[in-house]
Formats: sequence, C-alpha cells, structure tokens
Amino acid sequence: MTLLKSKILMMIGNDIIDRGYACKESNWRRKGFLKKIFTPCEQELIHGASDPFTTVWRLWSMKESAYKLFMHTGVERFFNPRRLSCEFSSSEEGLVNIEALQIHTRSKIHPKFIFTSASSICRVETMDHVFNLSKTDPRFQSKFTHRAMLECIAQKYHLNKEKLYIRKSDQSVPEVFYGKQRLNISVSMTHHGYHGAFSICERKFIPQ
Amino acid sequence: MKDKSRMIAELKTIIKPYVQDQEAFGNLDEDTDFINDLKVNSANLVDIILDIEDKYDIEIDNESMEKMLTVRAALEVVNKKLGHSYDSPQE
Repeated sequence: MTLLKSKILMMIGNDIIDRGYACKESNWRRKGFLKKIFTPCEQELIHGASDPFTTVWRLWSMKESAYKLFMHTGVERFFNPRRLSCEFSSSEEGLVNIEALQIHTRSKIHPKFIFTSASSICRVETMDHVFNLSKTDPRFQSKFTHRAMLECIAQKYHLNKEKLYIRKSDQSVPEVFYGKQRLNISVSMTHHGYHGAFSICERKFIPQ
Repeated sequence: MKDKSRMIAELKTIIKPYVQDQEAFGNLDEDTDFINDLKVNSANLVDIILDIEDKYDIEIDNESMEKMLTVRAALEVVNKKLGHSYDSPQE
C-alpha cells in the first residue's frame, strides 16, 4: 500500500523557457493564440498583468511541467493546454488542476529564462539544476541534458555512470535504470533555446 | 476527400517553419509525431493549429485539437471539419 501510494503520489515534471527564444519563436499576441491555450481566468491574469509576457510564459511553463507530471499517471498523450488550469499562490508558487489532481508548482523568474518545477506533493524539494546550452540543435540538447542528469545521479548515489541509462515509457515519461534495475526516483528534463534543466526527486512516501 | 498526398504537402508547408529536426522532416509520413519526431516546440503546435484553421477556413475546437499530435490525426481532423470522409484504419 505504502509503495503503491508512494508511486502515485510522488511525481514531478519541469519546464524551462528561454525568454529571448520565446520572444522570437512565438507571437502570443497573435489572434486566437491565448484563447486556444488559456482558460478565461488565466486570460484575465494575463490582461491584468504589469508584465503580460512573463505572465504568459510563466503560465505556459506551469502547464507544461504539470502536463509532464500528469503523464506519470499513465494517461494517453493529448494536446489541450486549457485542460490544465492554473492559479498563482505567490510570486513563485502556483497550483495546476487537471481532473482530480492538484499539482504544486514553483517558478523561477530569471531575466533570461523561466523555470518551473511541478510536484504532486506540496512542499517537496526537488533537486533542480539549470544550465546553459551552447547549441540549439534539439538532438545535441537532449543528449547533453541526459548526460548531465546521469552524471549528477551517479555522483549523488555513488553509482557507476556507465551503467546508468534512461528509458522512456509510452507516455514519454523518462525512467532511470541502473543495469536492469529501475531506480526509485522520479526525473524530468527540459531544454529550450540556450537553457536546459533537469529535476530529480526520490519516490519515497511522504505523509501529507 | 482531397488527395491525401496533396494534403500532406500542404501540411508540410504549414509546419516547415516550426520544425526543429530537419532530418525527421525529410522523412515525414502519416505516422510522424509533431513533438516527438519533428521536435516542434509545443507552443508552436498552437501556431500550426491556427495556421491550419486559416488555410482551410475551419475552426478546430479544443476537443479535436487534443488528438492533433501526428500528421495522421491532423489530416483526420481537417477532413472531418471540411466534411470529407476520411478512410482511416483507426476509425
């Protein structure tokens, strides 16, 4: 029971947005753009914000990180950001609701990037690492981020990094293996523009 | 129904500006996944959907949008909205 509960409860997700890149890649003022992604309440938050650009991308990173977490539950992939509804609790913390799940987020608003980590349990500290990337090629970025995370795991848990690898589930959820054994940690990786990040959290049961 | 290969060609023109993996784009077929294969940024998937709406003068509701992760699913949605039957093994 505890094990099962711990698996269900301890899920994480993350997302990083390179502000310069977002500015170049997406025009959030494009007709229809906000309506497709954001709920009426979120649209109000954006229109009432002193810095709508940051609000748009903070909300987006909350949705993305929460979506990645939601994929841990084994649901089929989908593209409908409005199904994840966000609210701000403070300048950094927020909540994302999807179906019966309430997801807790913490966003770091940096001049160059916005990084959000999402957790299924309130106040759980995920180990987050944010770093710069020298190239924007997605294959390079994915490889670099994988390697950086595995090196960190090897160091933290005193494991041979050669035996560590990542396998993705059908829902694209990454899982870390050591030889044939799946490690009891939840991980998430993200990259965008010139920034990347990974988050690691042990799947131990934490009473609410 | 429009000719399928013509529709794929039209779709390719729409998605080209957002593709980050050119190699996968070169091998595009109906099974190609916008995010997993073409590495389209998920925020740009919204642009693709808006561009499709503009191109075919249709409105894609969020329920239809949910499935639009692959070329096949996008073609199905467009054909359905255009009122064309679409012969798909998944339906």
